[in-house]
Amino acid sequence: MQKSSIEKLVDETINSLDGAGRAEAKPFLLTRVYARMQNETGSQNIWTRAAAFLTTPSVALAGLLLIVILNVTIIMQRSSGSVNTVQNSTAVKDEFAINVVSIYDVENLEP
Amino acid sequence: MEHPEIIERLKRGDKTVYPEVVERWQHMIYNTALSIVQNEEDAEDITQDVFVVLYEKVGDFREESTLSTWLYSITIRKGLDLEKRKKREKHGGFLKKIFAVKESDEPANFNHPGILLDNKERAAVLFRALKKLPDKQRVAFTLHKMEGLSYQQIADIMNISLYAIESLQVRAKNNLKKILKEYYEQHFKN
Repeated sequence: MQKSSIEKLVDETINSLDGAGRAEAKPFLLTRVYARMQNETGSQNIWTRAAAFLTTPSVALAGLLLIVILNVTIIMQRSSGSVNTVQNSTAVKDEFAINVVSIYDVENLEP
Repeated sequence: MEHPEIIERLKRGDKTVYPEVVERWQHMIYNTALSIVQNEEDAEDITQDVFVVLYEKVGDFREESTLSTWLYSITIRKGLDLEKRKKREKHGGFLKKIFAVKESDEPANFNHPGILLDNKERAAVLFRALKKLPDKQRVAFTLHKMEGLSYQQIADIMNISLYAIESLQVRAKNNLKKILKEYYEQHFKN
């Protein structure tokens, strides 16, 4: 295609909106606007807003991450402290001679 | 009913004025939204949103401009926001990026219902080209062509000087010429 005919086409395209009419909104818009207003007013409730905030992906993900970190931290602490706990309980047992485990052991002693 | 009376009644929270407000401005808002977002459902959503904003924020309206100017600016802001949100969603995921259709591959398929039948095909190409313009140039061009607003009215809506609007119009036309020339050259080559 010739250069001048492309330029002509470009100009025609740019002017293609000339004389355009207005697009019209669908009928009964007012009803839909009222419905939306009602929804907006309903969502002003504090619990609804709190729920909406908490279910936001970023907030929910951050909460989940925090719980996982807390769990991992607690498990790590417990596993590192378990040797000390066993040592301590053995020392206490030795110190106070805690040999009787339960009341049944006392009752079933042979004369 | 005159504008000052409508504004006063809206500010008083008088809901009985609402049918007239919607009746008077619905097509203006819808047409502006549609010309920007180029999607009927989104334009309908924006139109409803604008009326809700009008109801809730009419107290903030300082009456330095006309109500139409204020409504135009809300509509444009909402339209551009929606587009940005859609773009973010579109380019969000890794998989989406791989399988997404490139903008240049998208067909020119938006048909504005107000366009004359003879111009439909060319207008669809123009609307596609408009999407590639910077926001301000696109808004200035669209308001002038689709709503028939004067440069002064557009300057009031966009809250910039008349000189800036003239400059935006010139740049918009030059950029459109460049985009369309490339499009037609490629189109006729294939």
